[in-house]
Amino acid sequence: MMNIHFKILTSLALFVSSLSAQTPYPSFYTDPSQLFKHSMNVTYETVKNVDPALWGVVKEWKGYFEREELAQNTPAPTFFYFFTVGKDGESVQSGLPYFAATASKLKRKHPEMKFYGVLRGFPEDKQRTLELFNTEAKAGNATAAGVKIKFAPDMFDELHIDRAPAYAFANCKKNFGAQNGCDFQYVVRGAIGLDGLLDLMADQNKSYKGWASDAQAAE
Amino acid sequence: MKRNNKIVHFTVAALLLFSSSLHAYDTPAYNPIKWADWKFFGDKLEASLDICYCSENSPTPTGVKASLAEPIALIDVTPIPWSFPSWGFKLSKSGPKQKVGNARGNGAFRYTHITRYPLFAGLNFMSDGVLCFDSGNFDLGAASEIKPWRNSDYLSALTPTAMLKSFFGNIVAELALGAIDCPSTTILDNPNNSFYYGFACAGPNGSNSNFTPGKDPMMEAHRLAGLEVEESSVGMSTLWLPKTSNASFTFTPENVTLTDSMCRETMPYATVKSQYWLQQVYPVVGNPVRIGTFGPVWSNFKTPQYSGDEIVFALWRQRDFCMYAYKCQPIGKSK
Repeated sequence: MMNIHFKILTSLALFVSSLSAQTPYPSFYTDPSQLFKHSMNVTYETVKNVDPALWGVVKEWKGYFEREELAQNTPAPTFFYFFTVGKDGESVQSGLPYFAATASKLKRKHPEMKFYGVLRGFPEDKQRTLELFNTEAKAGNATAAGVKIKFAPDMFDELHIDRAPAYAFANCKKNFGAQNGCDFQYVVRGAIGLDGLLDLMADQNKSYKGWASDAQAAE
Repeated sequence: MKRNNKIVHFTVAALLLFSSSLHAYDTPAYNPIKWADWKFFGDKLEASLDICYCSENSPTPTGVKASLAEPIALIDVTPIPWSFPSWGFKLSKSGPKQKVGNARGNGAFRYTHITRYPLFAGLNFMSDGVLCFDSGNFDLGAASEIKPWRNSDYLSALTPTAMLKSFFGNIVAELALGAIDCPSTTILDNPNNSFYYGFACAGPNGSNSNFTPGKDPMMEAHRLAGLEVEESSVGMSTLWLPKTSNASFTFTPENVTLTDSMCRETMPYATVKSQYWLQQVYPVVGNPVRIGTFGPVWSNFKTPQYSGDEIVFALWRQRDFCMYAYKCQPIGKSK
């Protein structure tokens, strides 16, 4: 009796699974993006049939979306500088101006690179923070390199950084968050400067030697 | 003894399971810590070292460009008249009598309410003036029950925005919304503000009434919540939602900014779709998504049976501002 039940149940399960294998969206619940692509294709076909003039416009947008989607999902080399704004928290080698100066040198040769200064929270010394940011903004290096400031305590926790300054290198997608989108390769704690980080990376992996020499090149 | 242990384990597990389902009845307004997405807030908070200036009445004229996202309102979408699931109370006995609606099938109809809910200002969270949070009061906006045009398709056609949007009641405009704004919103996280007559994959807002086709309750609820945002943007509600981001209204992929919000809030031309996110917070807590994001990406399994199709969304808004120089002001009192 048990055996019959088992057989019925098994065949039923097999039947259901075969049905689901034949449906057009096998991973519908796990990957809705497939359904989205299918739905967009249907929309594009409809536009083509209904209004060829509109299709001319939509076709250009379609190309733009495809390029942008690819760009968003292609990881870009990203450098992080974890710092604090304190009275004695910064030395010449570790300060934000030094990071920005090296970053702007690198950015000139490698426009795809991205640079972030990361603070754990909002510094208590508002006046000093304002001065630092303003001086840096006027110097222009940070703007040239597109340095952005993130306030990300969870990034400190994720990378086990309990003391600033520290440097990190990662390959990050465009819309990365604190816990996703970045593949961290190197995390170095200490005031070594961005060029120091690149030297260490070049020691480990020769393919980074070009970057290291670019960072040290004279103006 | 072992058997007893098993019974205890089973009972504890059942209690935990049961209690977790009970927690879903906690109302979002009284329990914001449950849904407030700190990770999202952290990811959106960013400053650049681009210098900016604000001259009028600011404590320090120079600052740096920064951007943040914060929850500013709760929006109920419910078939039960005078029910506020965000706050957990019903006024159905005292208020004017209205019909009970339904979320599914032909003639689906639901009521919507928007509540000003400046959470971070209310929590007194980092209020040192560096970050500019919305600092209005907690307040109920006009309920859709008392807006005649939300309760009738005929009256809705007479409202100014519906008359304007009626120009887009054609197949070409609808297809453009589906073929351009829908992928732009879903793939690039960048709603196109020039398509102000609809919400991307949720479809066009031809009518300003709360009647929907009843085919996809969640997406239709999303569109109705978006309609509340639209009415608050163009002055058809007691709540006013100004433009607080450097959004563009141009029909080109390049992001051309017309008016910036670095030093003050400005009057929006239409709904600034690109500065908002909706996060479902009741009955199930989801992630913040753009208004009209393709449904299956976020809306599956989000309306359990016990909820009675009562849904609450939290509205997140982006603010681009000149950090240190922006003089923070209460909502609706811009210069």
